[in-house]
Amino acid sequence: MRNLFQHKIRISIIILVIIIVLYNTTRLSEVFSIIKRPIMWSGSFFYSAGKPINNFFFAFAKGNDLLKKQEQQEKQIASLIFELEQVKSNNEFYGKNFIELSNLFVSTIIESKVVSLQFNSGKHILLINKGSKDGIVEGAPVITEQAIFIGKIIQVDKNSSVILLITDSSSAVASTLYSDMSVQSIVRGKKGISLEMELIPQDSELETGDIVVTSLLEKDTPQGLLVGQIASVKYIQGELFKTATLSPFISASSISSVGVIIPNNLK
Amino acid sequence: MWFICFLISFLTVCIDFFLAKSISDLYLNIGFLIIVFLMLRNFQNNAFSIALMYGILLDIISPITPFGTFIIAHILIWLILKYTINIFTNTSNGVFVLLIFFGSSLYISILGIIQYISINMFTKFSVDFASLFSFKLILSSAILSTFLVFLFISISYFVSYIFSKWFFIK
Repeated sequence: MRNLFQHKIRISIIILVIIIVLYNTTRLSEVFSIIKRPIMWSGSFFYSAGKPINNFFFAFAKGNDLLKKQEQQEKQIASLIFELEQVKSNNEFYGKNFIELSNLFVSTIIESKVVSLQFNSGKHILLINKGSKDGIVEGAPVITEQAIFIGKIIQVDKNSSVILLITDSSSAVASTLYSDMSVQSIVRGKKGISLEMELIPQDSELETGDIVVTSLLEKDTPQGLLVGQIASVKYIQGELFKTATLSPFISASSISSVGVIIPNNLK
Repeated sequence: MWFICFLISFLTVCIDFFLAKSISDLYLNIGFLIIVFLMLRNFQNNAFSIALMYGILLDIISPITPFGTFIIAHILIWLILKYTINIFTNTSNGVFVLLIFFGSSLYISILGIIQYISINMFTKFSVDFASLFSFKLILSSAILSTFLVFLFISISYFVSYIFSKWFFIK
């Protein structure tokens, strides 16, 4: 009996080694992508089911802090409503849906559902349920319906894709100030939670609360997508550039659907 | 039996990979806990099947990581358990809790090391060791696993107590 078991294990391991080799050298991966579809579908259900549980525990653990925060935010809202009215009159992306945005960007926007948020292999990534079959390509920028830039596609399978979040440490995007588009800089992710704006020329004037958007210099990405808001500015005398810490407009865990922008040259 | 093993693996992948990730950043290792439980109960054959299927399913859905990484990692973990689990079969509850705690930490670390090697060797992506390993995350995840096992044991004791009291003694 024991020998039979040992024998079975040896055979299983040999079969697995053959599958791994064939997967990486032949088109066997396409067969596996068929299996991937129902798993992703079930996974999406489990991921959505986890959100209310998360909200419950969050409210349970941080209810008191939330009340204090709410009071502060109510005060902030009053002043922001005034600012918003000003932005609405200037921002061409405000209040538009994906179809209207795609007309504005002269590109196709593929709407997709978030299946999982992962801190996988040291990278902060989002898994979405659309892939090469739907026209998604590597390097395509990804936004929310509020035109907030959240990252770029780094891996595409037949039925799913992977987004590297802008907050990941290996992410970098050419950015500029909404109020002064002549200021060109780079925004890098910081430990998956915040953003840092680097290489800002010393003579540029920026203040806490300024809005940072994507620059025209960013490859295949429309200009003016929202990146973050300046939380603090660091300036050291004698250094060539300033750096600023940005707070992202949206937390990755609250994103449930995204739009992948496919520029016409990438189609 | 293979179908039941597949169903268990499928459910644990859905819980560990999708459900847990929407709740917290911590690693949830229900799959590993089931393998340990089966090994302790001397169901080595079933534990091997679940380890294998759990690995295959993770390989199919895991982004970035090259195919084969999780299969190899889970076979390795099964082999480690096979040669070490006998030490813990007739031990006290305290030692069992320690086994779960250190086992979970070791499991996350082994997965991390194998992922680090395979990503850097076989993909166009590169990950640095520091971003892959967070001592705090590993520790918190191990505590979570231990707590879940403790909860499971407590509920089992309670249910069996109620069951025996109401259905047998009366």
